[in-house]
Amino acid sequence: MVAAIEVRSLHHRYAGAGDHPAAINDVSFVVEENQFFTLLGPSGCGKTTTLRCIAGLERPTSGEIRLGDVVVVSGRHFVPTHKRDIGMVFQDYAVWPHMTVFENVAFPLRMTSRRRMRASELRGKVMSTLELMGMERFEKRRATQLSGGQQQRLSLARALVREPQVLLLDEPLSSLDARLRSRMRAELRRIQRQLGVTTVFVTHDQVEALSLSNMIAVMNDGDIVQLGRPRDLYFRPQTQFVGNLVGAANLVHGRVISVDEADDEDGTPVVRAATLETTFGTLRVTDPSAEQMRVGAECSVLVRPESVILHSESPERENVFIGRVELALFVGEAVDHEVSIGELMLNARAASVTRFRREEKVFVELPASSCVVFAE
Amino acid sequence: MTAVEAPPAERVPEPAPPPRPPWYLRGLDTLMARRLQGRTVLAIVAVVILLYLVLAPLFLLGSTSFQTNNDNLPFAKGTKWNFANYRAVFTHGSTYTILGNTLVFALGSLAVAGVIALAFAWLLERSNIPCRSVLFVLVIAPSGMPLLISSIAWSLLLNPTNGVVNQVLDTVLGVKFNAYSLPGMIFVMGIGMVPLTFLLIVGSLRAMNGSLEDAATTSGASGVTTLRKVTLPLLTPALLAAFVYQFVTAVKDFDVPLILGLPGHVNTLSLEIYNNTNPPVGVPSYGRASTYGFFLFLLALVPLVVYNRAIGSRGRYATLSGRARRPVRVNLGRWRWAIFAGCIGYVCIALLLPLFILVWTSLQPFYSGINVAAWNRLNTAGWNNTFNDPNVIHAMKNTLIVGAVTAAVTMVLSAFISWVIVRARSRSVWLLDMLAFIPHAIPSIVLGLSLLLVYLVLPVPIYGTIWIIVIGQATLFTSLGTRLMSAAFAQMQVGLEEAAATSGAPLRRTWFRVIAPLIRAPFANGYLLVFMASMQNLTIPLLLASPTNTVMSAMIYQKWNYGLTTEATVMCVTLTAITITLAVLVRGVGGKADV
Repeated sequence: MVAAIEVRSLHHRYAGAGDHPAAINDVSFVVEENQFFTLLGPSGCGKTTTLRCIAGLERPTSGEIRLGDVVVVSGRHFVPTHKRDIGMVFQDYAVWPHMTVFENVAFPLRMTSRRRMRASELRGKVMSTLELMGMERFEKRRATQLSGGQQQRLSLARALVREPQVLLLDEPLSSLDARLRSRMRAELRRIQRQLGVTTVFVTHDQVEALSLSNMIAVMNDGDIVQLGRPRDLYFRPQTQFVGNLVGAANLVHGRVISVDEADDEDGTPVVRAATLETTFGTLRVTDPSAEQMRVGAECSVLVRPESVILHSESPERENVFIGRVELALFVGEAVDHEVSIGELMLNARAASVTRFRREEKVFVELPASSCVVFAE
Repeated sequence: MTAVEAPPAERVPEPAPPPRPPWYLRGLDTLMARRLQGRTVLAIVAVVILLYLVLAPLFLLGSTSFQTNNDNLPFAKGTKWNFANYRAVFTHGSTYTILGNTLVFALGSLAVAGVIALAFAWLLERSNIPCRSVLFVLVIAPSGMPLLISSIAWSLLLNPTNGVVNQVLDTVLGVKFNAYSLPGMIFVMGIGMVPLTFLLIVGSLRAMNGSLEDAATTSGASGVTTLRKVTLPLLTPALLAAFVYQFVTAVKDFDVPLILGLPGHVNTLSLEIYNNTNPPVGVPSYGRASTYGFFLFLLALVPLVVYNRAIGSRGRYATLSGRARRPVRVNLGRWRWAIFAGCIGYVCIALLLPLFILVWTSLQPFYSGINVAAWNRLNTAGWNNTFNDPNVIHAMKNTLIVGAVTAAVTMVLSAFISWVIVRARSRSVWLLDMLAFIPHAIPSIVLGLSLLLVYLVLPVPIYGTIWIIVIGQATLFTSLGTRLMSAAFAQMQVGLEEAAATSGAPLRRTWFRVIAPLIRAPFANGYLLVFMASMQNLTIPLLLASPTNTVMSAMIYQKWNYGLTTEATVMCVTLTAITITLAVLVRGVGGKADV
């Protein structure tokens, strides 16, 4: 089966380098049919530029892009935007203020259908797309009379109405307020599932990326630094950068003093483990990437706050350290703690029923399987 | 399934990077690489048109200044290339008088306009003077009266023989002013420049964040101290910009020197160029005229370029914010109404007095000041005669055609140029940007002369038609048009156009369906402004005049020059009425554009 999108050795450098300093250095990836693929990264990492290259709004310096079996960029060959089978949603919606809702959605059909579409057919398609967005009531309104969330839906309807091969979303949720954003997030996923349209989504928000995607490409400085499923990125980041980007993280520095095999839970000796010497004692980690660890190597260990377990009495297990609660913040769905172990400060997130007092002594457990090790 | 790496079987070898193109193609190559075909074509067409409109005249001007021959025509038989014109100009003592006159005229008018405009701007924006909105309209209303016409009016009011104001002053105080002198010219030009100077200053005063001034007042500074220590220093860059702009306006001006300087033998550079192309006796000496023209061009270009550089390197003051808040107004106290009366007095002098004398004169068989005998002679014969004159009707028709076509050509060209300038991120855009800016620095007298030379040499049969005027004025007003349209495009989200492309619309349809409807309001506004500027412009039609392409402004001057005062003033009143109507329309359209 042909992949829906294939990007190969994409390079891009801006000529006027004014507004967009981002450049892309050798980006390659494949998006499968029906996949929700996310480009995640901090601003200026080249994620939007990559998306704009797929849309044809930028012409990359070199590289190749295919949409299905159509080569749209390759060497001198360049298919302009309006001849690509795409639909795109812009960060600022870009709905046309001089047209009604209906006219906005009808525009792509008028531009792209090979024959002149009958009025009833056009109307049918526009209205069914508007219904999908729950926007059919606003058909006759001017685009400027809509709220932010409605403009967003309209923009999505316009992108979907011609049933494009590929849907491109450029930070579509970032201009919405927090409450609306989480609602639109769910809706976006529902619609994408329902239509099964291959989607490329650009965002700097890790929650959006993790919750929506089948596959995430984390970008930094014009490179893809890690490509994987949301859970892999979250629990097994390959670099500190990725670890920090996709969620809150505690970092602990240490030195490897021994490397050995540990038994997995069902008794098969597959997972490698390492023992590290840290400022507050020895720490055992079981991490596939610990295979690259050598005795004596300096490294850092990442533990997510929600993986840190706080006990009031010692659970008599490995990786338990005595600490002190410095700060406990009740945020509703959880309690965020700042815990000190000697000089080290750790963030720990516990269930909302947890009640530790400030300056109380706690036993801090860093489960070996939740630790991720990076070489330094 | 995850397919992190591309299937290796299909890997094609990376294409070798194309060789670096020669320097003269590099800009073009960037353009080609950056954007789609349609965009590239549009950019190239815009550059070519501008090159033709802007550089061809300047090239002819420059080369003519280095030529000498017996016929005094550019590229005539036996042309010698030398510095003879420059030597003649530099060694002639009058050149330095002319240069001095030009500078005194420009700086003097700037001082008059600057002081009055600054006072009005502060009063209307920062004080509690009464009837602010009425005053605002009254201050900018005189811009509806072209300088040609206000010069004529002031000549009627202040000429030493029977000027009305002089008659009054003579009987009351025993003094007389002479309009045909440098102070007279400075007065008329200064008053004429007030509306635009005011608009430029008031705009930046409005954009300035008022809390900066409130901060000074709450720190214990008095109104005057705040003005001196906070408002004026913060406003300095904007004031400098306005003053440089208006200095150049005065340097370039030809109307006031023609009406007031010529009879008073006060020569300026613009007048000297005219004298050399239209000498009272003998053949035109285009070489000499071109040399002076080149000087005048530099005198206008250098301040603008230096200023642009200075602003560019220093950056703007960070006081300009989108949502500026107005500070607390300064209470003028018991002076409030006295100052208001003073403002009304100014409006009477700047607007009502000239209008009155023009109307009065148009109702007289001949001009003889204001007295009882003249009162008994009041009649409308002048109006009847003028409007029954087929030549006048023809001139009016020409004016409307030239105005309508010039505005259309200018605005369409400006819209495309601005779009390329704002939207293309290519480095070669500076060329277009510069080409669109230069016409602003070309004095219209210089452009008129240059176009005369171009179509003397080029075998294009438009010499003596209205189309040569259209070309000249379109060139002249392109910088105004591009400035307006660039602002419009800068405010319009790029996404709106990109969304059309991702919806499958090619560039042509994007223009028709998305861009054109969205820029309609600023386009219409610009159209009316250019239309108005075209009607007010005297220099181009006068220099390129023929019996068939006369427009109203040129005819007013001809009639005035022949002493047909009544007919001239009839046409003056008519033209002023039309331009003021247009000005009101501009405000109407502009107001709609804001909504």
